[in-house]
Parts: sequence; structure tokens; C-alpha cells
Amino acid sequence: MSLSDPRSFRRLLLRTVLLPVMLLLVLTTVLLWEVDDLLETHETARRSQVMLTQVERVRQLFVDRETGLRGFLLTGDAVFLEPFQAAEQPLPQALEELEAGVAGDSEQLARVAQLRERWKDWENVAAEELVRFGDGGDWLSLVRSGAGKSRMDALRATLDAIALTERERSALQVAIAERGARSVLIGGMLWALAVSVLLAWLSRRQLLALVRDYETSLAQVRAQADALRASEARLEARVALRTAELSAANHELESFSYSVSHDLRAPLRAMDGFSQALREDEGPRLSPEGLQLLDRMQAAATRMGLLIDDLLQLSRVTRAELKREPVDLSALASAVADELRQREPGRDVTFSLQPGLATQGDARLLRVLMDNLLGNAWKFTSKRSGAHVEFFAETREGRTHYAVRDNGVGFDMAYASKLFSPFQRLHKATDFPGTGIGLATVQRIVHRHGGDIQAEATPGGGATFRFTLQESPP
Amino acid sequence: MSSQRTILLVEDNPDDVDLTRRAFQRAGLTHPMDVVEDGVEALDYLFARGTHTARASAPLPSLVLLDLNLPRLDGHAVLRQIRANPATRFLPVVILTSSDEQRDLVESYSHGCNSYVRKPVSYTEFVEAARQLGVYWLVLNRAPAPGPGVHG
Repeated sequence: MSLSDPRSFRRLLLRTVLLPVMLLLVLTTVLLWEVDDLLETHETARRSQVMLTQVERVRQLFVDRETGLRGFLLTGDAVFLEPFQAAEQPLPQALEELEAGVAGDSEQLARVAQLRERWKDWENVAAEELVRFGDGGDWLSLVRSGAGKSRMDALRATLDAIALTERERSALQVAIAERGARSVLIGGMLWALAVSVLLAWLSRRQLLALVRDYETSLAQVRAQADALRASEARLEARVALRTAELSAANHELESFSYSVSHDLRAPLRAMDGFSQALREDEGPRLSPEGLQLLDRMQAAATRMGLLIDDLLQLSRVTRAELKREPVDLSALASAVADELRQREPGRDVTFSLQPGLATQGDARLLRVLMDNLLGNAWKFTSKRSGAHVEFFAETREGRTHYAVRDNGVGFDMAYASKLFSPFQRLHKATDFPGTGIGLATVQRIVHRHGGDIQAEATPGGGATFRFTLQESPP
Repeated sequence: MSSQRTILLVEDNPDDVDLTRRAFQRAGLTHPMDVVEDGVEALDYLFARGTHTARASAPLPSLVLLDLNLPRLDGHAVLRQIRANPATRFLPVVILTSSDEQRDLVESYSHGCNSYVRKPVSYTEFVEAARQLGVYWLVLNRAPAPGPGVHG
């Protein structure tokens, strides 16, 4: 038997409930039957009592007849004849009732029939005595002959026999009923005892089975839990391993970047420095073409230095831990604008910076973002007069969009998709110097803040960069 | 003013050593420049130990130009030991490095560097940086006189 099998569990339930109910039903039926039996016995006893009363009544009627007759004969007074006459009429009725009472018992019926015979005999003698008394004959000799007395004695003997038989029969039935009741009671007790023992034994067996089953299930559950824990531990170990690998990789990347920043720049410095040394020491002996070649060498070294710096910044933007702190974007923008003006004091650029634009974000990264966007605006307006750079915010679809707009050379929107990829440039380096990494850096900063960035431009009509710094509502 | 006291350059790259020498000369600084190539040697030099025991009676340099990425003992550890020693506690130390990492800046200032200068790729800018450094640290700036018995 297993608890996990619903059919066997149902069977078990059925057995525990149905079996006792059936056994108790049987017991109840037997008890009801016995009660019925007792009631019947009681009824039989009552009927016997009625019968005995009937016998006594008949006896009384006979006695009335006899004593009435005897009194009349002795006194000749008709008053004595009254009970004699009064008893005559109900006697046949009483005898019939007696006969009805013993119906079914042929022995008793025979006795009632004998009673009738003997009554008739006695009546004949009584009638003879009355006739002789009326005629003034010798009635006394008839009395003395004992003919009346012997007949009345016989009547009494028959009545006694009927009563005795009735009493014996009644006593016997009561005894049988008592014995039956006793045995039913004892049997019922034994039955109940047996049922209890059986139930106890069954319950014990089922409980034991349940316990065994429960223990088996428990062991299974424990085994599963152990397995789960083990796999969890394996998983954790794997996660720990991966984390370690990842942090090792990160660490490696960091040292790589560090090496790049340190070691890649040193040869560039040497190239530029020794070119300059050559120019200073050997300048007079070099042809103008030679000097020009030195110029180009130094320009290339400088450019590579810029590239390295921008690449480092891009990787730093990606790696750096993002902080969320209050940042005043307007203040950042005006600081960047001041720096740009200082760097190229000859330029005539109007800045319109909306004040009081505060947000939550990483101040260092947002500084890099403003550096690049305003720096681009500054750079791409360099070929025109009346340059105008704006920084403002607007609300679109419930989100704050920040925008940097310039009236510079702009670009063809057909190439807008390349705009944010590293090393993609939409202008010739001779027109506008740059590494092509700035906007990629800007986009990473925006993405790391959960926002997005878009550009709108027309060739010759300026460019607008719009960005958000928060995730869009779901 | 001990105008002829030396500058100590801690730098392992010979190209950078030559360029730095040139840049200081170009900037018109005539101070003798001693060069050590790693962190351990830098400390030996300053504390007159190992191969530099001969310097026991020599005065401390007037300025230390310290690279960070050095063999054996790196610049941060050298700076820490310079600041931990009472004799060199106030010695002007300028970090001269290629690194622009925030973490290097923070660590250098935490250990008490006097300046942090990033070596520019452009030699012209480097000469300008050397000139400004020399003028500031060797001419303008006043440092407390080094304590007596530094090397013993």
C-alpha cells in the first residue's frame, strides 16, 4: 500500500469507514430482532394472563351455579336461585372466549371440549334435581348419591388442568425469551468486543502502513531536498567560478587599459620628442621637405595620442560604476562652454544655456557627455559666423528630453545610423579633426543611465542631439 | 638658496629619461639631474642604502620626479615610504606619469604627493610643463630645510 497511489488510499479510507459501519449495522439488526422477540414474549405472557383470568371467570360461574342450586334446594327460597340463573347466560359466551383463547393448542381445545361435556352432565343432574324438587319428589337421594358433586369436581379438575397447562406454557416461553435475551446480550457484547478488537487490529495495521509509507515519502523528500541542495551548491560554485572568471577578466581588462594608457603613449612621446630634438639639433641641415616630413610625423603621433585617450575614455565609461547623485546639468554646460572659450578665445560663439536643469546621474560621466556634445557643437560651427549653441530641456510623452542644438554644418540623415558607432565619421578629418569615438562614448553614457539618444540634422542646417537620462515608463 | 641641488628622476624608460633631460635643459633649468630606474633604487638613493651608501653625507634632492609604473617597487609604494620617513616627510614629490586614471590620482594625493602631472604626448607641451614645474618647484616654492642627520 502506498499513499502516493490515490486508488489504494481510497480503498484504505473505504475499509476504515465502511467495515465498522457494516459490523455495527449487523449488531444493531440482531439487537432489534431480539427486542422484537422480547416484545412478542411480553405479548404472549399477557395473553396467558388473560387466559387464566378467563379460566377463573368460568370457574366462578360454575361455582355460582352450584352454590345457587344448593342454597335453593336447602331453603326452598327462590332468592338463592338468583346466582344460579344469573350464571347460566354468560357461561356459553365465557366458554367460547376460553376456546378462542387456546386456539391452536389441540390438547387445550380437547380439554375445553371435555369441559363442555362435563358441564352438560352437571346441568342434566342439576335439571333433574330441580324437577324432582318441583314435583316434591325425592331430590335428596339424588343429592346424596353425589352425582352432582362428582360432576362438579370433574369440571374443576378440567379447569385446573387448563390453568396449569397455560401457566406452564407461559413460564416456559418466558424462560425461553429470557435465555434468548441473555444469549443475545452476551453475543452482542462478544460481537462488539470482536468488532472493537478487529477495528483496533485493522487501525493498528493501517497506522503502521501509513507510518511506513510516511517514512518512505519522508526519506524520498529528504533525498530530493539533498539532491536539490547539492545542485544548488554546484550552481553556486559555478556562479562563484564565473564571477571569479568575470572579475579576473575585468581585472585583466583594467590592467590592459592601464597598460595601454601608460605604455602606448610612451613611444608616441619618444617619436614626437625625438622628432622635435632632430628639428632643434639638425634643423639647419634639413631640407624644407625633410622638415615637413617631421611635421607630419609629429602630427600623426599627436593624433594617435588623442585616439588612445578617447578609446580609454570609452572603455572607462563602459567599466565605471554608475553613481546616482543630483547633478546640475546647466552648471556642467556652462563650465564646458567656459573651457571651450578659453581654449579658442578667437571664436565668436553664442551659448544659450537653459538654467536650472537638474537631474539624477553620474556627475563624472555626465561631464564627459556634455564635453563631447558641446565640444562637437563648438567644432562643427567653426566654419561659419554667428555660431549659436543651445542647451535646453523639453517634455515629450511625459519624459524630460535634453537637447543640444547648433547651427553648424549638420549632416545627411542618411548616415545617422553610423553616427554612434566608434570610428565612424561623417566629415573629413581635414575639415573637422576628431577620432570618431566621442558620440559612441556619449551614447554609452546615455544608455548606462537607462536613456536613449537621437540626432536630427540637415546638411548645412545644423544638428540637434536629444537625449533622456531615465528609463522609459513601461 | 641651494640652486645647485639635484633633481631626482625616477623613470625606467630611457627614452623618457632623455626627453625629460632635454625638456628641462630646453626650459633653461641647469640643475643636475640624477636618474634611478626603479622604486627600490629610488629609496636606496634617498635613504643612502645599498649601492647608494656613498650618499650618506650628500644633501637630499630639491625635487623628486616620480613615475608610477616602475619595476620592483611602484611609485605609490615609494611615495608612501618617502612620507613615512621623518627625514623625507616634506620632500617635494611630483608624480610624472602617463596615467590619467582617477584611481592613480586619488591614491597619489592620498599618500601626499605635491603635484600630479600627466606627461603630454606632444613634446612642445612637455617642455612647457617641465619649464613650469622647474620655475615653480625649484625657484618659487619654499620647502622646509631638511632635518639634520638625514642619512644616519
